Amino acid sequence: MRWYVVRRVAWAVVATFLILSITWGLLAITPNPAAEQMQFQAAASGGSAEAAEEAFEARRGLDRSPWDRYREYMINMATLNWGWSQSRSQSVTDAIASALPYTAIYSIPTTILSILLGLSIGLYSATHQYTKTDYAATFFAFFGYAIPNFWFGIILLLVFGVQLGWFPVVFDSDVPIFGLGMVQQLVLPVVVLVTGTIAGIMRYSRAEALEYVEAEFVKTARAKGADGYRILTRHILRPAAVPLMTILVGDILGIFLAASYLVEVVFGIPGLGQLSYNAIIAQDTSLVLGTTLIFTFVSVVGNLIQDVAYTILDPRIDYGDR
Amino acid sequence: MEATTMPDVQGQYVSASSVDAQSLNWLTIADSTSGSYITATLDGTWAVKPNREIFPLWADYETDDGRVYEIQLRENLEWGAGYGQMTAEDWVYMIKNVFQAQPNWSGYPNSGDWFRVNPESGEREPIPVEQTGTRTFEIRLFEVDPAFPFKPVLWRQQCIPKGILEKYVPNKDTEGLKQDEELNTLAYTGNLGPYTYETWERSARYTITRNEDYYLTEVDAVPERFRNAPYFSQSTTRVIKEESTRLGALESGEVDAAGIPPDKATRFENLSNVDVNVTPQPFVRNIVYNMRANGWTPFRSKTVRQALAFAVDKETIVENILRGYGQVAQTMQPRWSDWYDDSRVTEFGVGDRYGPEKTRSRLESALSDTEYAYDGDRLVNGAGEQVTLSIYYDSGQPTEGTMAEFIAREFDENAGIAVQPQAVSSSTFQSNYVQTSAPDGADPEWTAGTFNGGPRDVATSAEPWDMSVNLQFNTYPFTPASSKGFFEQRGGINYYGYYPDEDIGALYEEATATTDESRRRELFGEAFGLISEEQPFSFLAMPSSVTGYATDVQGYDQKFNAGWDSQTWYFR
Amino acid sequence: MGGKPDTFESVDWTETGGRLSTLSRRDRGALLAGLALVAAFCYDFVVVAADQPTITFPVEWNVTQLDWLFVTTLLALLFYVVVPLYGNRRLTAYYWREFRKNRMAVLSLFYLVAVFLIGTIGPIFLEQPGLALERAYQPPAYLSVDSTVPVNCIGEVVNGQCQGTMEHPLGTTGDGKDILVLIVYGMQVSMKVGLISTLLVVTIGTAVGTVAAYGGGLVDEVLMRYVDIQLVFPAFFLYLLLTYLFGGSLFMFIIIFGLTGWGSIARLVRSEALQRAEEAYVTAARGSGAGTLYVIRRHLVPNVSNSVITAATLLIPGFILFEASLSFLSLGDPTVPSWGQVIANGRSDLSTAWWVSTFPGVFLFTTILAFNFMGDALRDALDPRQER
Repeated sequence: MRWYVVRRVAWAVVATFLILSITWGLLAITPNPAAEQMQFQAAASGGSAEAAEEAFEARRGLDRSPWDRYREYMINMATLNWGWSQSRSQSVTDAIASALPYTAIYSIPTTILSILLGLSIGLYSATHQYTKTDYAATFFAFFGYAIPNFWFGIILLLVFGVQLGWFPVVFDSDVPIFGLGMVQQLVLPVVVLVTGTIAGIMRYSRAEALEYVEAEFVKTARAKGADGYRILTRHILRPAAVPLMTILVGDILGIFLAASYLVEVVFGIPGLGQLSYNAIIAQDTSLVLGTTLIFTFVSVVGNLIQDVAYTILDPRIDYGDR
Repeated sequence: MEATTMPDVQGQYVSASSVDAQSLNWLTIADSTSGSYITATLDGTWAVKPNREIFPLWADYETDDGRVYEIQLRENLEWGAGYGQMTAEDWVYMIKNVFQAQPNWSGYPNSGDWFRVNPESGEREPIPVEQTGTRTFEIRLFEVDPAFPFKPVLWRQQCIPKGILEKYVPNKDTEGLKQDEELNTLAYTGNLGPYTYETWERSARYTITRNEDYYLTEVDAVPERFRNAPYFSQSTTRVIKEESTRLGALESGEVDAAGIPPDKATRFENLSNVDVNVTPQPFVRNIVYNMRANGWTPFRSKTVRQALAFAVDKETIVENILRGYGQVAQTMQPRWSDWYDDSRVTEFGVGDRYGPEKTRSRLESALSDTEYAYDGDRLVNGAGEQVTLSIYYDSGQPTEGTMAEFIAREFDENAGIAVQPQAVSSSTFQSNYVQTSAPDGADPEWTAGTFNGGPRDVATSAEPWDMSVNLQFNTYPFTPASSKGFFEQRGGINYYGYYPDEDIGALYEEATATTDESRRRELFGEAFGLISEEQPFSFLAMPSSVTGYATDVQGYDQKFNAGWDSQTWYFR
Repeated sequence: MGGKPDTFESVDWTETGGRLSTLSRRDRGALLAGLALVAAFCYDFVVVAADQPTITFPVEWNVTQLDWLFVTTLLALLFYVVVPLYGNRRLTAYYWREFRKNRMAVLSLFYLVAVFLIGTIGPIFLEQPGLALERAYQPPAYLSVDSTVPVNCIGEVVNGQCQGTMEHPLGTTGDGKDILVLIVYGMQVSMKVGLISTLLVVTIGTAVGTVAAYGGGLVDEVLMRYVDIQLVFPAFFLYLLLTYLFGGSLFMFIIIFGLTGWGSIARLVRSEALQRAEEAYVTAARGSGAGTLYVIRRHLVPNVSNSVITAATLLIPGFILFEASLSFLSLGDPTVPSWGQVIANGRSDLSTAWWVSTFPGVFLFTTILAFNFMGDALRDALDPRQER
């Protein structure tokens, strides 16, 4: 077990390094639209496109050899000195630190709500398969998944924000984090995200529960006259809890990964989703690498924790020989 | 606009922007949002009023011959953060050690403005600048340029205290300059702008507060309305990327100002809580023809280009695509500009200078020496196949797509040419269609930079194309001479391979060097008349800029460059 | 998948060394059709000029790269889903009985078949809607809108309200394009996006998964570690950068996400196959001298196909939704009339011309919903653990 974890962690480091290198390589070969636009503007006003390009390269430090730049970025990454974000004029660490709270503030309630709702709908629909309420519950869960997030968000904004005026249209980062105003402006984004993520959890818990609904011991319990609630809690939920728990571990880590760019853009939330997307669009190498590192590492480690949790919770699985 | 009583200082003015600034360190930026964030705290030398008059802010200038300019700074300009009074020394130090540094170690994007060709040596040299007093310095151009004060090189030019720059100049410390705390938080602005920096939350909001010590309020020679400026106690720019959200926020009153796309403007005109302000802007939309070897070669003939200009109805573009928020364009100047001479401009694509018969008969005679001819309504090549051309548009711009489709239909109906619209992203267009170069091994006679890699038969773009509507060109209504490169065979921007029939470049040069204002008008009028006649590209329309303001916002103007006095706007 | 299985006795084990001889009739048919398709593609690519239509009869059709992929996908569906279902009627009937229990799924199936047929056939008869500025923002039939919204109203104007006409039953966009026709075209685009990418993902994922499971050791380690990286690497990033380099297109979308999205399928297949590989029939086949490839193809792949099909049904809506999201970010292909494009272009019209993005939105929504219902029902029907 210990050997397994050590190997996985070592691999996580290698994988992160590889992904960062590929990302860096892709960025390096892609022409920068901002640089091109500057060259065009310079030429259009009678100036020199070449001088504009040189100035741009000097500002971005692109006047050094690719190998030098690569080495510098990689050393920076390893030493956790993530450098300066060109597109935001602040250090990458500051940029991430300022965006993270805004992502957390909507992703924590979203994760909690969608786990609770997803689990209960899933269990309900497993124990009441093919009934009308099952259809209704399934429909509700799938509704959010099937409706495009961005479109649903805009419609909610127009109806509840502009027409009815119940909620503010744009997220205001000035509102105190723990206050009624914040709750009010988070209602719409959280609704959009929760309805969008319920389906996955609901489907998984339903499938897990279904496996036990028809199991012999449940049938026996039912034959012995145990009531529905007892069957659900004692005979279905207990064995199903193992795989469900591992999913939950993944989901809780996912709080930091669940940053939804589309929802952040529609509601104007300055979170991690916008941060990483804008970084890519602006080809802000340090910031792209910084955010990629976080996302990659969290998801690689998340996978690991999930697998380890599985081993601990379910003794039937043994990784000893791998 | 001129209020009889002075407006009160009150309220928080909130405007919406679709993009955020990149930096508050103006030495490193070239985007307009960053520029507007900074300008609110640093006035700069002078503003240009809509009637093309200079309005001195920090400084005024004096010139006898249009060649040597003496810049005179006001007395009451104080830096913040303990850097004392702003003096000519600050300016000269900055210009010589940063703007004109060779190599450009700071990466200052506009350093090219500070170099000009010296006719004596024939080389590009730094423009000589010299301090002549505590608050005066001289800029000695190599040649006469009466439009110099209107060019971005000095217009609204800002400055940085010598005390800050001294830390980085000796070691040419690019990173240090870029990351300097005082530059990035605008700590040095003192009394130099209407507002002072408060907070900047990236991707969310930029907040500035009223500068109680604003120097302009103590100046006697300015109009009364500047007396107590600015009139907002706070001003915030909120970054709202999604257009529907931005417009929703304007409608619900969460923001006081936001840009409106033309097809939504009518709805906002009908709203009671929003006023729509329509102002001209300097960009022209056009069809660019590829006259290089990988385009359709008949475009090289002036008569063909003129004939094709009969095929597209410009009024429909303005009325139906721009929804009436724009003007028909005929040449490289808007109709309202000082340099547009009605009597010299040849009009195309309007009234009776438009239509299928007119296009076909002209195109037929223009193409009489070539393989192309009409077969019924269709224009066919030597093999009897219909001529098919491509037209490119930006994949991120739905309005441009509509325009391309409209042009395709007009060409098909009026000229019998099949046109296929193609979408490309702006960066692909730039690298594969606008950048031209001669193939490896070929040694072109001359080259004029990235966008004009040589004679049109040799240098081409990487991908073939026939027409495009991708890029809008700035017409420079204040400094028309800036567009010279578009109309010269060896112009740095001539990516479309245009060889003018008349020497338009020479006219530009003559006009540039003429100090007599009415003679300059005449010369430029002639140049823009020639351009309209030659049709180097097909001028279509100049869209207006449409902004919605909350009804209680007062003071803005319906003219070009309307924001020049935004510090005098107020809440009713 | 219940392809008519060769029984152990019917296999001529002496011939298993040769490749072709182990192919079933169905595989030979598929191979033949595939070769014919390749030949036709070469003809189109080499002989016919790029801007000339490939065929002119019965309809003029310039077959694009995407069309070729789509035809390939349809053939694959035919040979590996429809033919086996038809060939093994007893099993098909059993699946149908199981599937039928879920009424929503049956309804979804009919809906999807209708979308598929209309989307495939419709565009042949309907001309792609062109620009008609004078017809912009017409309201849907039987509905009306303030007459300032359309530039000019085609129907009657009653009390300052422009009435919709049957000429445009679902109204028109800001470009004057008929929304009903756009929706029909969008059906085809959605089917292409969903089916082709999924076929790519399923093919590669199954191949890698089974090879890893059966090959074991170093092969398994290398393949699965690669999958680790691929799963974490943001394919979106690659798409974005390639769009910068070459411009965005639907073809590029499908290829990139098809070629990079197979990680989870490979994992699923591997774990399923690992269980199967231990089963007695595999040991028996191996003991009788069956080669690695044979065992993979004849024993592992068919036995993991149930889970793969279920997963695939759920992948399809994901791809369709993803295309719509990219359109929203203006990163899609604006020349392709996908639902996502229409929704994205009409989204800022929602407060005046609600119909522009609402109708395609509803279709997108129902299609994704239908795939989900069907996926769930398929899981229930195909899952052998649930046999009662």
